[in-house]
Amino acid sequence: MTTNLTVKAAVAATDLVKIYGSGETGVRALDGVSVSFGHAEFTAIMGPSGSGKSTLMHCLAGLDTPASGSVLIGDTEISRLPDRQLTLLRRRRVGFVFQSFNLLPALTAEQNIRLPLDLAGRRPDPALWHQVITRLDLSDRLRHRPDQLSGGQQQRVACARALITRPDVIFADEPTGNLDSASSAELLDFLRACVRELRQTVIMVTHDPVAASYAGRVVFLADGLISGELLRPTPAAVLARLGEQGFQGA
Amino acid sequence: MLATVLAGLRYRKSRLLLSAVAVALGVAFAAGTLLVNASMSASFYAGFAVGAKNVSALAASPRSGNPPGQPGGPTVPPAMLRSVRRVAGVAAADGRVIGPAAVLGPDGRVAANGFGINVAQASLGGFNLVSGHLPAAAGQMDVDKSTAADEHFRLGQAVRVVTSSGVTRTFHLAGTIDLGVNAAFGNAAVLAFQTPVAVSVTGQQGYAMIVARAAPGVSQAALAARIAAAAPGYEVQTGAQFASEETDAGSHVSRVFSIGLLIFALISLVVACIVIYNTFGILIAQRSREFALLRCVGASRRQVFRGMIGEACAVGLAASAAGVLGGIGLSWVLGRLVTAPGSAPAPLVIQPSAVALAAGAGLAVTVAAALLPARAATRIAPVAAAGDLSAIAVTRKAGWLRAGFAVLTGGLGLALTVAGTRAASGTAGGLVEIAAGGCVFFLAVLALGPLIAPPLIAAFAWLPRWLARRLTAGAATLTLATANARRNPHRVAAATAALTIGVTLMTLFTVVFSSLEASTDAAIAGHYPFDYRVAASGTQPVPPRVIEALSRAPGLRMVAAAYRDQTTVNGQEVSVGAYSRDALGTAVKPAMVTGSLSAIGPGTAAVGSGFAGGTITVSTPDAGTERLRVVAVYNARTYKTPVPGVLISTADFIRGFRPAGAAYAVIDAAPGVSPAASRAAVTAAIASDPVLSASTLADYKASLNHQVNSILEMVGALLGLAILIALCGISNTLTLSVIERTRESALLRALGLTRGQLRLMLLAEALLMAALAVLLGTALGTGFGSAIIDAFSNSRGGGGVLSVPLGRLALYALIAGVAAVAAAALPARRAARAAIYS
Repeated sequence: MTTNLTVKAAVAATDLVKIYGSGETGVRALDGVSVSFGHAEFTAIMGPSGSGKSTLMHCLAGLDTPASGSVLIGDTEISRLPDRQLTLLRRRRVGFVFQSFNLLPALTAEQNIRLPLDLAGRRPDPALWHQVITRLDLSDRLRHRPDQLSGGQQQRVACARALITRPDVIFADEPTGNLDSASSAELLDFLRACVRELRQTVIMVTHDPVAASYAGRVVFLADGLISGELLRPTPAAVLARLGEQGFQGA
Repeated sequence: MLATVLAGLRYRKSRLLLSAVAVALGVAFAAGTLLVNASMSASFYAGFAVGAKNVSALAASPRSGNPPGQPGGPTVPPAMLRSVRRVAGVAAADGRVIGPAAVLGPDGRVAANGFGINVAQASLGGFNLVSGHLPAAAGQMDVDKSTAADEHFRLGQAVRVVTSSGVTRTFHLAGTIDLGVNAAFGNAAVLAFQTPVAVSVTGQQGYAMIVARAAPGVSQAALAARIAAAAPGYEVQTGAQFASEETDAGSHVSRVFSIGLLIFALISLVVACIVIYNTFGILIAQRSREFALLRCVGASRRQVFRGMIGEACAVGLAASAAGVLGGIGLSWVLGRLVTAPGSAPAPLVIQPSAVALAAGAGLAVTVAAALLPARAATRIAPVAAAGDLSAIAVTRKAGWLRAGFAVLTGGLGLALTVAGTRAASGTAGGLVEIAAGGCVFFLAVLALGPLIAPPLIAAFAWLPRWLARRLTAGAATLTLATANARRNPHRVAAATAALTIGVTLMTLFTVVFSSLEASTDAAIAGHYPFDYRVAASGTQPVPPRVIEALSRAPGLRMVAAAYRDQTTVNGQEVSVGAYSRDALGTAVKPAMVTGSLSAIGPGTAAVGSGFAGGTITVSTPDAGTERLRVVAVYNARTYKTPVPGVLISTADFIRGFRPAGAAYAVIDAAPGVSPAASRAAVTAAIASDPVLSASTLADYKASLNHQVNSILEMVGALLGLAILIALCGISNTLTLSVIERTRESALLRALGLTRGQLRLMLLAEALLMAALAVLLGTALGTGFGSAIIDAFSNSRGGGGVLSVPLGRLALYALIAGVAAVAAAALPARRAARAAIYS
């Protein structure tokens, strides 16, 4: 697989700068990041704590506004969109999976999955609904509340919620951080399958080399800058690259 | 979004329950008040049907102050009855006699004061027979059923009656009657006799009114017109006019009462509003991650806002429905409480408009309270969904805007209050300005709350912590409690604001009423001192022979008769009176503006400040006038002053007003005579007259201030509800804090805090909040209470005495403390029950 710059990317960032605080005490969390993510690609973003990987994801997803630079989702420049347009963008074109599942405790699994569609006043596509629920093995869990589900089940509900709107891109923030290894493997398998079978674009932030190895490409971040990338990663290769980076940083 | 709202409500129903209770209590109170008013009005209308029964038209003398039928009003001569009976279209007519009469109890003293009436022919008497029969002979009488019940009279029993001239006569009880609701009689005893007997018992010169029933086919209006033609110079009304006039007079009392109740209902709703505002605020802080998530998955700000308002609507509707049901129950109870014993309670009227008004107020209050928190919910950034929960619960800093607002409203409030105390000439004596100033100033306190709460709580906690350190126990627990109470100033300030309102109002009323009491006592002791005061228990006079007997009694230095009447002076309705010479300057010494009371003699007068000019024109009952020269001016505006607006000489008074006797007599014992001896002398002199009683200065003050204590008790009970709602708020705040701090409590328990210590920590937190509310409330209540007394004193040319009953205020503080501990009991239990691991 090679990166073809003539093919339009699903998500692209150019010269992103994000500064926390102001003046001399300001921290440059992103210091001019340019990166693009292709359609139907599964990309992992890795880096040590404080490298800016979460900030990058928040800016890419339109949850946070960069100080300068641009973010394109498809053809849409999102870094300067007003709140209303951003809301509609999140509703229709972006899906989220979080480390701590973030399901609404008051709603059943089914209500949680349908929530983005309900907010937009839309109904789910029955074929997609069937496919997602069956593939995630949630058919007999739909009437349960989050507190009646295991961690793995909760994260599968969160995945279903992200998928059900057919978003342009799914952002996953440490999705396996709170899961045991079996549930993690199951979830990552599913994310990879989404990319292959549903042609879904997935961008995942993680610090786990095993999780990163499920992706087609790993982008490394250090001190607010892209420090490299790895195609068709294996856990060992990722670990080796991280070790190098740690060594360089020392 | 609706599904999300409903699911959220079901999920958090226990957390919303307490705030719903606060709203429900407020609504119940408002609905109860409105419904009681409706029920009482209905019963007044029904009750009045008795007084106007069979009456098509009536004629009375043109009124001069007293409405027709009121005792002491002008009368209609018997000759006029004969003229009315001759009017075409009159089927029957009779006169109604109304005058003073009193019933004696078994001990020979007056048991109930009241009125004697006659039994008019043709069922025109204005009452219904309840038991027995109407008086069939001169020696028989009927009595109203509540007096019969109170005095345990049995039919056929001999009952002694004191006539208006002071003679005791014995009658046999023939029956009991029901007069309905009659403003003229109020709750007094009413005795019905045959007409000639009624005339002699009450000493009336004529009829209070002539009532007539129309022949079939003659309208009320036509009959009234014909009677008016036959009785020129008399006031003629139709039966319907009579009924509605009397009903208005009756329902005026109930209207004043229900306006008072509504003010308290409004206070309860305001307090409930603060409580629910705080609850929504805390819930939103706790759910910020949830709102962030909703925003992440594409909920717009408007959707989040609508969701919150939807939740508030649902809570408001449920609470209002519960409140209305509670209000119906409350009005049933209130209806029974305000009904005089013996008479049937007003039937419960469930007025749809009253129910709708109360429920609408509950809903509006809930939604209004949710507006600001809901706006705060829309401000939560979507990125918070990904972050750490603890980082979200940010406490806002009290900003410059808040301080500026506080300074502005505080300054405005104080300026208004000061203006109020100076505005002595205003109609309400500056009360309106002070009330407005108080409300505006309270806004400043609300705004400043988050700024002043932490340092005050730290200051309160100092003493118990010092003690705890001395006893080497619980110091750590108290430190934790103080830190907890201080950690969210906005929340603590809002939770205590509700209780502060309650304590402020309680303190205000207490200070004002006890100061009025002290002012009265001071005025009586300073300007109108006496050893004994002899008066009849009703409106009856003290006969001249009793005054003479007192004058001859041994051991008494001074016996002065006081005379009273209402009349017009210089066209102004005013009370006029006279005292025996030796009382002027001794038992009667008002603050003088110019001249001296001893200058009063025939042809001269002393006047209260307010009359201009060197002479006054006094109207006398026989339509004559007297021109008197003003020789002295005194201050007659002291609270509850016993001195009339105009003082004239006894000789002029007796000539002009022809009194049957003195209104009362004031007596001083001679120097060196023991109180027992002088008391015995007074008692002996009045023994022959069962209507008279002697009171000392202390008795007299107590009787004047009797109302003050009952008003204070009622106000206390009404404000108790507001305080109960406020405590719901404290309990709610603590419960939500306990839920929020579950992990923290578990950590403390893991570190070795016992269950008891955890409970103590929460109780201490509640006590600190209560202490804050009591301190602020007492300071505000005392401050504005003294401002009111100041204004009152200024408007009356001085004489106001400020009295702050410390014992009573300490009692309120104690009650607030105990109640706060009770409010903390449930949250404390919940916190202590939680598992250590989580």
